[in-house]
Amino acid sequence: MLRRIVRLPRPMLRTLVPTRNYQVARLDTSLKTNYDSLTDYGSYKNNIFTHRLPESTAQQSPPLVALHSRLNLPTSYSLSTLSQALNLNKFDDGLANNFGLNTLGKNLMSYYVAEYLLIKYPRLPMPIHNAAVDSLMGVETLHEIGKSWGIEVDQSSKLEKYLSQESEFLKYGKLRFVSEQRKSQVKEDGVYELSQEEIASLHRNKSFVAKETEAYASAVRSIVGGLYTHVGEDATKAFISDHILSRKLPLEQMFQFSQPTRELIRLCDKLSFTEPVEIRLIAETGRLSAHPIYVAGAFCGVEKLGEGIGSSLAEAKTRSVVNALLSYYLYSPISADGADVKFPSDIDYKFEGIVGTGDVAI
Amino acid sequence: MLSSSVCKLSVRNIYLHKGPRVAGLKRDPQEVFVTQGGAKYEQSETNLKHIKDFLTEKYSIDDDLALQVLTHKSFGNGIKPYNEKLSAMGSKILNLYFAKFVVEKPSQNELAINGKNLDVLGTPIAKELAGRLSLGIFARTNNLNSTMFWKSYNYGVGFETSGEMKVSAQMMYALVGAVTFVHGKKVAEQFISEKLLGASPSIEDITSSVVEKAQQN
Repeated sequence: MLRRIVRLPRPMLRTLVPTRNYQVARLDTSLKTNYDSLTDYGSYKNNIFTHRLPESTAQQSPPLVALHSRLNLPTSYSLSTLSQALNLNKFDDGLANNFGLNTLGKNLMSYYVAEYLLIKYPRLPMPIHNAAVDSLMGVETLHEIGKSWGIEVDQSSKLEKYLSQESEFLKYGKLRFVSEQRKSQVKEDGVYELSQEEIASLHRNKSFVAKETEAYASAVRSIVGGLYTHVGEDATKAFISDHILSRKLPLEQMFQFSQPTRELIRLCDKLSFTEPVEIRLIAETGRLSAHPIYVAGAFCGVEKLGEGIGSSLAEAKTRSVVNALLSYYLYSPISADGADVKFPSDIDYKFEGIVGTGDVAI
Repeated sequence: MLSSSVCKLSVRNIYLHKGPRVAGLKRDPQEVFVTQGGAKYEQSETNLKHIKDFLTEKYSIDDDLALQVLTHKSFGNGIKPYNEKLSAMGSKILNLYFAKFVVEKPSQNELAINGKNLDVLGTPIAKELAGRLSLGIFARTNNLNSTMFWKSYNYGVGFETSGEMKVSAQMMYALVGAVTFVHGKKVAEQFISEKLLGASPSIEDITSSVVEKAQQN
């Protein structure tokens, strides 16, 4: 059988190049959102939500009042907002959920975390920067923070609440994300059954994030968002600084170099260093000794970039190069008076640091 | 007095190759660091004019930072300072600014918290205000992307497909980021309000048309 080979003209070929076109965000129809015009932002209303929790009801929830006090939230931060921050359910008798608060909190946190890292560690390679962002405000971290704040999950069904004569107000101070149907399922000790959404997420990105983990993270972000709505940005910044940025970040442990010498040479090239990179032996205990130790240094001309100790020449060389790279990447600027540099959101900000110039391709 | 034999001046001779790429040979920078349109990578008036005029004296930045704003990671294999960190700052401040901008508008919604209508967050318009498509079109409309140092896999396949939209948007994020670095957050927010929302067409007009077009399709 004869097969015809069709040769496409070049312009037509161009249209066949597989590309990912930009996807404009779509409206979530399940929220039944109404608005007067696209840019009339005040007119947007999600009709599936009918009300917020009355403040008088929220005040009768002991876990909610306790959480408010524990986090030392200002009195202007209403308990009803705090309760809303803990509600992830879209369909909960018309009670407003935390979607908006979560988005607002996420934007605030993203900015302040990025600002902190970009100013304090301007030379971090982008993968390390992203890992640092993740370790400060990633889902797992926020889950841990939420747990340390003592937030509990509302896991008992309506029937269980009725049988144990639990006050109906208790649930307003708990994290609500488990559906009534799931609550009423019989659970087996030590067995965690994945929900449909969790199975779907597992296939999509091959990393498993439990719904509870995501719910805790969402609650923490929402509490931050709620703080902005009630007391403004300055107080929110202070809160983020206290609870998120104060955590120790083991940056030096996040690095992994596959070709450190090549990376250092490329980096020196990028920095327009005219002298070539050389690894020189600085000292050794004696090659014929029982356990020789070598000290090598990575030099660029007369400038020593890093020093490393190893039990073989190769080890000392690699360590010196890695130390040179680490001391470059982990550089943190200080101001003229020796104090920490100010951040762009600080009052009387003056730019004294540096701007990262980007990683090198190896 | 030092004798001439003590003074050691090291001189390196490097052959810089011109013409087609040959593996192992270093290419002549004069030939490599040139854009598709023929613009040389340098702090020249012609290269920086567009963004410097846009920034005006009030939001001015140094020439080396301005050149970094215009340089994308794809240019010259990332050997020149490029705008990735600047755009990381810019995208975050834009997202935050527009989130605050949309929720602060007066609202009759009874679910608003302390007068802030959070129902608008997550809607297409709120998301796309700081989106790549709107900013890419904004850069093109204001002729800010006429000189950008970047490399496409194929320049001839259109604004979106060639990657020009993405690179232009990243340049816009970097521009806002550079203003944040140099002048601080408060001035950067004034910059967004004055230069992005106050432009004609504004970023809001562009985003509305982007969202409307997407809804029609």
